[in-house]
Amino acid sequence: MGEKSVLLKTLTWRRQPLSLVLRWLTVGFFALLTLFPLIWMGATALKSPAEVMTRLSANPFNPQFWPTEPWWPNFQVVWLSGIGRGLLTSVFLSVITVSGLLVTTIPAAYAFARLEFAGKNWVYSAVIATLMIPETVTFIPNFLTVASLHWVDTWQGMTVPFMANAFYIFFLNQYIRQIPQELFDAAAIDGAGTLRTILRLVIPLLSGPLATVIFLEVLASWNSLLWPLLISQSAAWRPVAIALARFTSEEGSQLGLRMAASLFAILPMLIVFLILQRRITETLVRSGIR
Amino acid sequence: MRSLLLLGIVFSLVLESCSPSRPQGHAIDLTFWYQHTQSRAQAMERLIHQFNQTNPWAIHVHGEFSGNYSETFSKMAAGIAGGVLPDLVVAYQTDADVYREAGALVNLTPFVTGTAGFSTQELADFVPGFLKQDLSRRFSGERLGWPINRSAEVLYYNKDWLHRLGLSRPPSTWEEFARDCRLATKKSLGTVGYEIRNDASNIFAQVISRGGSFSTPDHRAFNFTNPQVRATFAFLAKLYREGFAAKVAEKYADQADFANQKVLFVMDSSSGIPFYEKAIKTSPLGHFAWGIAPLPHSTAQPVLNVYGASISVIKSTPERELAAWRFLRWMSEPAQQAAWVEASNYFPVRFSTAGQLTPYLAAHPPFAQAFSLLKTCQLESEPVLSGYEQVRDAISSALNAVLEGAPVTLATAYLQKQAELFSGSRG
Repeated sequence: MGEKSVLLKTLTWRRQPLSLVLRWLTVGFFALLTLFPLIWMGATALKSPAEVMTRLSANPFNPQFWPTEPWWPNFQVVWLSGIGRGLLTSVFLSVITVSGLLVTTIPAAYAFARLEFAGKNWVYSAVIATLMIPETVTFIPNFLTVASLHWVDTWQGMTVPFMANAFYIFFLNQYIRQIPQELFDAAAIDGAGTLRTILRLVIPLLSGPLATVIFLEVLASWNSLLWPLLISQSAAWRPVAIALARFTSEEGSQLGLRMAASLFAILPMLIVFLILQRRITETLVRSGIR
Repeated sequence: MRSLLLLGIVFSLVLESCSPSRPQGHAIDLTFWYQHTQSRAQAMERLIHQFNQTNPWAIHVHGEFSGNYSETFSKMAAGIAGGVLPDLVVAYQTDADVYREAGALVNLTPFVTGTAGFSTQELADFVPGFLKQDLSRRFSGERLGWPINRSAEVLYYNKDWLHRLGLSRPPSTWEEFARDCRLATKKSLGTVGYEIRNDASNIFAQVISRGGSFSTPDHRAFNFTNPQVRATFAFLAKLYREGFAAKVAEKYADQADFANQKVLFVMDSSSGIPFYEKAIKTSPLGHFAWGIAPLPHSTAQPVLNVYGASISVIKSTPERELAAWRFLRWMSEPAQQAAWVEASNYFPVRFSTAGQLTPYLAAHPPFAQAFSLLKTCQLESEPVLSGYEQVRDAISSALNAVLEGAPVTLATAYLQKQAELFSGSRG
């Protein structure tokens, strides 16, 4: 028995490094695969116009994949084009949109999860049904509403239509339902009203899902192109997505410039993701959303 | 919370103070939505600024990037519904028909022929093929746009390579073109005769070079089952299957391959000339002689597919409409045309512009060659039929299917059905 146990241990010990190596190799391979577009973007942004046309390889281990030496004018040109203002505008619009979204979504999700009122299921079904309407279909009606409110070319026009979202109501509703009833009872015994319960109990317990909502909405707001194009009539409220669109050329490729502009555009998103990464990953793993 | 709010207000004020102020206090402020980016946008803004500074009517034009053509169309669709429109907008002829149907566009004919318009002598200076493109067949010949530039589908060829193959000139017939492609293709060197840019404008250019069209003779319906469309598809499929032609791998890859001497011929818009020039200049393989020619043809005279978006004037008040027209008229004058050509490499719309372009044409021989084609070729343009934007995609899909082995008759018949569906001409 003792010998068998030693043998088993030895085999496990020997097997462990191999399985570990395999595991790391697999993870490394998929990490490289995921990061590849980003690496390619960085390498292309650092190539001169000539190298963009001539140093062509899809293999990062091939020297042709990389520039001979970094070509910084791409970044200078992009920065001087005023992309900084686009970034600032996007930050502002994202903060306003997300703030408004949280103000409407959390109470709505709470109401559907915890409150009892006449026709609750019907109203909830109606809210969920809006998920089936493609976003593009809503552009014209939303534009008409915004125009009638004289919000064209204003930050309100850019943000208010996105301050309510059925998916996030559904998403948060699922988490609020999982909070034990005893906690709500305890809050009620302590004299907490609805608002206090949301602020002191629900929000602290939903930090993970809320981080996910914040990240997804910031991402959506950041990448949005068509709506800002419809709403903006001047350079006043043009987000980074429009600044990026200006780096396309009608008859020729200016790949180096485009990639440099794209790097500027995604950098803030990467920072937001790195800050919220742990909470987002936990939430997504728990909810099974991919 | 309070500090966050304060931060938001400060942030908002900073942004507000940075925003360029809208022009105020001019007699008429006009907004112009255009699609140009980068150097073309800068050149357009310079011209707009010049107009604002020099026009005697105190008109102030405010140029705005409105996205690419399809995004501009979406912006216009929303704007028409919401009553938020510019005064001038860049528009292809099919888009202009849609805006006109919604009652948003002005018929420019009275302006062209009126007191603020052009004399008969001046009108004779315009390239006739360009001017007639904006006369809407759907709306009884109303002029729904005014061209300030145009481009054409042309053949780019490597002159040095042709000489090495023992050929003294670019091909003038499709048989010669196929022969040259065979001679240039060397699998061991990775070279090929021609790269197929699967794009409706390019296919149309090849079809008209065989005397065909995408529409019926009265231009009222699509016709993709004519012998010239089928001949074009069959020709390209044969060349491709024999390995003498390849597909363009990704957008603009043909520019890189041409500059790297991997392909002998490409067909592209004449407005791409500066990008080819730049690519060739920076190629590590060194500079080579290259040229521009009309597409090979089986017609008596070479035929050019000329295209380009025009500028439409939005219905507003008579004063604003006139002011918008004055801007278009100013843009059509030879001096402005010359400045715009040098910045954009588009064709000017007036022959007399050439007089102001002499140094530029001398410095850019390929552009000079392309420009000269306007006088020697027959000019044709793509059909202005409803649904053409969707039909364009269907044309590319049909050619792709043929290149991958689908029978030409089946693919063109299916294409015809799709075109009828998109245009609503049947069923």
